[in-house]
Amino acid sequence: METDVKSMDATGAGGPMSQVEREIANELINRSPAHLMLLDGAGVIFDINERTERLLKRSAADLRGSKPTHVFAAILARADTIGEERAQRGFQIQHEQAWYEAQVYRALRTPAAPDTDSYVVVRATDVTDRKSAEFQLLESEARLEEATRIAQMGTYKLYWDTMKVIWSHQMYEIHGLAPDSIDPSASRYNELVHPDDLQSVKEMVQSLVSGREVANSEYRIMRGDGRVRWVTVDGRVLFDVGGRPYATFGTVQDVTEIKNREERLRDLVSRNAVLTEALQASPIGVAVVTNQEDESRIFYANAAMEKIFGAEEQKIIGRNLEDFIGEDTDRSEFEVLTDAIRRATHYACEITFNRFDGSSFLGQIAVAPVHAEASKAVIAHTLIITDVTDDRRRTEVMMESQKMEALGKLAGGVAHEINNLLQPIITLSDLGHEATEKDNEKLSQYFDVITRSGRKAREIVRQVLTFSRQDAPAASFHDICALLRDAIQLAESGLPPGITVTQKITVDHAQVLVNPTQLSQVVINLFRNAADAMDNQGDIELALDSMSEQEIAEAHLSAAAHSWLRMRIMDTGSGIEDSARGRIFDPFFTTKPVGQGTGLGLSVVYSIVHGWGGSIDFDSEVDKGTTVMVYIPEHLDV
Amino acid sequence: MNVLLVEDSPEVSLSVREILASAGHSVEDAANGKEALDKLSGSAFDLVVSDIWMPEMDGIALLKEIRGNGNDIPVVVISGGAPNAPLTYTAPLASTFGANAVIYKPFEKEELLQTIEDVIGKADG
Repeated sequence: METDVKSMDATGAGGPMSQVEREIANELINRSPAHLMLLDGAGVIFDINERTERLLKRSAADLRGSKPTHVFAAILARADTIGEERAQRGFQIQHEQAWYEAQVYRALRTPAAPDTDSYVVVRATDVTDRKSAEFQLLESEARLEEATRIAQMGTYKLYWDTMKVIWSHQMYEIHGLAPDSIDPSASRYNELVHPDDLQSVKEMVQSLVSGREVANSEYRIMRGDGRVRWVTVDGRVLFDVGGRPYATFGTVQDVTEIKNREERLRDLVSRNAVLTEALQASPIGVAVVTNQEDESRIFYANAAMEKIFGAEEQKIIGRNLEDFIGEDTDRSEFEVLTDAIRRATHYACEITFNRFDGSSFLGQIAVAPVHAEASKAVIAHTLIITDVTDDRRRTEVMMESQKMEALGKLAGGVAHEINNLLQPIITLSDLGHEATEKDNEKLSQYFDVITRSGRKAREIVRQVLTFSRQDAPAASFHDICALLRDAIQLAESGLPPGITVTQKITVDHAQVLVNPTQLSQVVINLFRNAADAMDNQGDIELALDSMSEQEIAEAHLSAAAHSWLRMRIMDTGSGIEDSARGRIFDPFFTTKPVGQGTGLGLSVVYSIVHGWGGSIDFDSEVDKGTTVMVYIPEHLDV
Repeated sequence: MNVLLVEDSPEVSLSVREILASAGHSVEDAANGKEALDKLSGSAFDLVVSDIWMPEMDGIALLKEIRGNGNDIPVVVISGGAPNAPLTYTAPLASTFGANAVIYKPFEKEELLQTIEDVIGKADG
């Protein structure tokens, strides 16, 4: 700067400057960190300071007398358009990638041009660095705004000095309020909080104003439209340049949908847990099978299934259904089953399965396709298996026994009729023969033939009866206690679930001459009658004891057997009507509705027990119950 | 001997009466258990020969009544069933119901007479 400063009195109020004052002014101008340009009243440059010389890469002498160019021209142009007042306060301007803070001073005189009436000082300070920092801030704020909008997140600021709270637009929206419709101070905010959560919100606010951070605090709000929503709030403390906390800043998010989803998920999980436990507890074997590439693999198996196959779950899962098929299995039946799975249809059949230990059992199996909830696609198959080996055995015992009894009855009935007809034939022809033998040889011979024919007929009848008896099971010596326990177990498994059995076996060991299958038959039949009499609900008591001499006499039992055992089967059922008492052991007599009883059960029991040399009787009171007594001779010397 | 013959079949009844008569016994007929009980209460008998399967009152019920009344008159059962047949009442007759002997139709004249002799002999001895 070459011009001497003559006066710094920009207001024009001061008088002439001293030499020292001028030097100081010139020095201040020259050393100013701002770029300064001095113009005369006509807008022509008459001086620039050193910093401006460096900026423009021109000397003051070069530029003197010319019009301003570069950023200074832009500043002057802007100053004119934005008006006097603003121009004096300063403004920012961009020029050639750089930002300047600009100011235009107008003065009547300047020290640099004391002789001119009107001067203009143009000041330009390079603020590019500061400006870019501001941009970054703005940009990050814009990004935050965008993020909070996308996340439907509201932001708030709480200034500690005034306790003033400022909400973002989203905050009002979350709370169901029109923008800026309320003063979101702490006391007003409490009105928006669900009463049940008010206490915890007050504590949270207390934390925020005392400078503690808050993370994921959840509570319910009551929106302006009356809806209750869940929000999650966080807050952190803002510090000023000096490191002192001055405000709390945080976000609020409506998490009602998330909470609802979580709730539904929890419900679903607990429901699934209940279903899984229920399946595990099921007495019926249940498995889920997937069908891929023509292989039916087990995806799930419950506890009953493990028990049925005698294996741990891990051993069953992942296996092919084919692995449980053995030599005893009817292949064609199995093919039909797997085909049903392939075609995703319902199917049920009985198949012999192999256990892991190599043994086999007869399983009643049913399959049903499982559809995906949304689409109708078949995703798996439910498979139910019940071990029906015992059922089948019981049924076979029943059927065989009943068939034999029916056959025996028929043969016995026919034999009885024929025997009664043969009696007079044999006796009277015999007597006739005796009466005629001396007088009439021919007549005597006729009677003789009739007698011999009658005797032949008798032999044939006896052979038929003996033959029909060949199928009757052979009896052998057994400990009745052990047999009875097995028989009870077998019988019990076929009883309805409402029936319980109480055993009172007060005999340690007793030899009897029976057939084990027949003993089972007796227990099964008597249990079934007892269960029927109690409408399948109640307790059956089975007692076995030795009989005293007096009891033997009272029961009209033969003293030939020295020792008798008494098996009593007691129910608390409907009892036996007087009209039925004399007939309950008759074949085909039944009190059950047509189709529900063969009427053979008790006659079978009767004939079995009498076949052992035993006897059977009963005590019954209508609506109180029935006790069936089975008397079995004990064989001491075996 | 006075014999009460209980038998529902007239032909069997005739046959048995002839056998008994041939041995010198006097025979009274009854067609079922009820008739037999009436006759037993009316006059004295030395022996009862009874069928099992009869209408009104069968042989087992008759035996129960006789023994239940404390009457120890010898009873010979003549059964239409077969010995040891699984479905006839015959096997436990003696042991359970107190028959003195059981024979099976159609029997021989000698079989019946021998059985009666045994039963009476035992009862007297």
